[in-house]
Amino acid sequence: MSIKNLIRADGNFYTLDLNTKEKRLWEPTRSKVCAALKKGVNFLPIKEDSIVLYLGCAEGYTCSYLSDIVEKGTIYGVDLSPHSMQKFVLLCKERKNLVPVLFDANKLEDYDLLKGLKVDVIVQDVAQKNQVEILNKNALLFLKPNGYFILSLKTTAISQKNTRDIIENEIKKLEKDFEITEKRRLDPFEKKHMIIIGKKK
Amino acid sequence: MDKKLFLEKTIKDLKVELESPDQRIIALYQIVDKLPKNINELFEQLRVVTDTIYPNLEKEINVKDYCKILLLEKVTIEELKKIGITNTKVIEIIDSGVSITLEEKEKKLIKNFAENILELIKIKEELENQAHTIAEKTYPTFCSVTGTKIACQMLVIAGSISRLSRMPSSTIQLLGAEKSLFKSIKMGNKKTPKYGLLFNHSLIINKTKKDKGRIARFLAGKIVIAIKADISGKDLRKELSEKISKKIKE
Repeated sequence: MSIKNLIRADGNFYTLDLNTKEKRLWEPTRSKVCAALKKGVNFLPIKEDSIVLYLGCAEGYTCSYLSDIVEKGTIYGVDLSPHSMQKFVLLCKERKNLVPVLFDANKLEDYDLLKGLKVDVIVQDVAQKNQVEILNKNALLFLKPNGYFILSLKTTAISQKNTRDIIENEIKKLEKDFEITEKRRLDPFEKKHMIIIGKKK
Repeated sequence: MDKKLFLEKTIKDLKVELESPDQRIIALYQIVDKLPKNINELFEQLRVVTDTIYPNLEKEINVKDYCKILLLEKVTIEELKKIGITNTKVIEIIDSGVSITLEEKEKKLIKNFAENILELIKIKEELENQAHTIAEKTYPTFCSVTGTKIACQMLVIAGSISRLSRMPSSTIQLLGAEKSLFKSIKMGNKKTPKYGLLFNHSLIINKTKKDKGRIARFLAGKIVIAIKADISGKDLRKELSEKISKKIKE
């Protein structure tokens, strides 16, 4: 197990692995959450004891770093692809606070084991045409009344038109149910991406 | 929430999905598609050395026979007949007297190289056979309509059999021709492609230009029926083959 909070030194982000007592570098080009931190996001809602639902975890690169922050809570990683989930299961056996869920993020209400779960934070990293819908659906099902969300919006997945118009359009959809606290473009690290952090009304 | 239950369920679901026959075929066939490129690259590098021994030989025979000739101790007509080469031009080139002689050490190195290429060709054929046997066992109707090779190639592009079964027949007709289709749409060109992977089908390849498009459209409709029959467990081989032969006579 490795438990230690983020350490900020020389502008890079590290976590400390207690087993080997070595620092692991968190690369912003591979993880969108790290890119957001590097661009200067003031407030990340993930705390020591929070329960997180991570949609689109893939092989678990970002999840492994978030699990260092969430010492006493748990992270539920959801993904559809069986091939990348195979590697995530290996990671889950290493780290106590990761839980794997192999299912479609569109239809999570059909998954029996997740019934009655309430989480503090939802991280939405699925790049689909209906990204905002997926977030809305899961927020209704699983999010606590004062829970937060982190959405990484990939505009090229929606259409090839002007990125500013698409972002404005999607934010209008979000403002019905959520209160947006922060938004930031991830330009040098990820092109045409935006990270949005907000709170449930 | 108990973590053990989640782990057990995901591992169980994983295995069901990854061990299914369509995923096995796709994994095997992706190698089969890419290996010939690597073999050709290696063969070109082999020819840098052997071109001075047998000039212009590669124009007469294929890679497999070329490597077999290099493995021979002494090249005579009888030895060539044993491997199965009866092309007279090959003997002309060997007897022409232009070729240089190499040292024993260099000959050994070249033989090793040729052996390795032959081994790679053998591996490719075995992988292809294995993929074909799985495909013919699980999707008999689909394979009988399209031919086993095209069936496997379609699976690789679609990603899985359930995805392929949900495609309309117009998509299946153009499977493999995505690049030229999107190009023609973007340029505003009126000429759209008529067939993709189906171009190599035995019924289409030797027809006139007008008939090719028609038969491709007709076959694509039958392929959709064949895939759905295979998934539901029915065997429609006889009915479909009768319908196809009837249509082609017209």
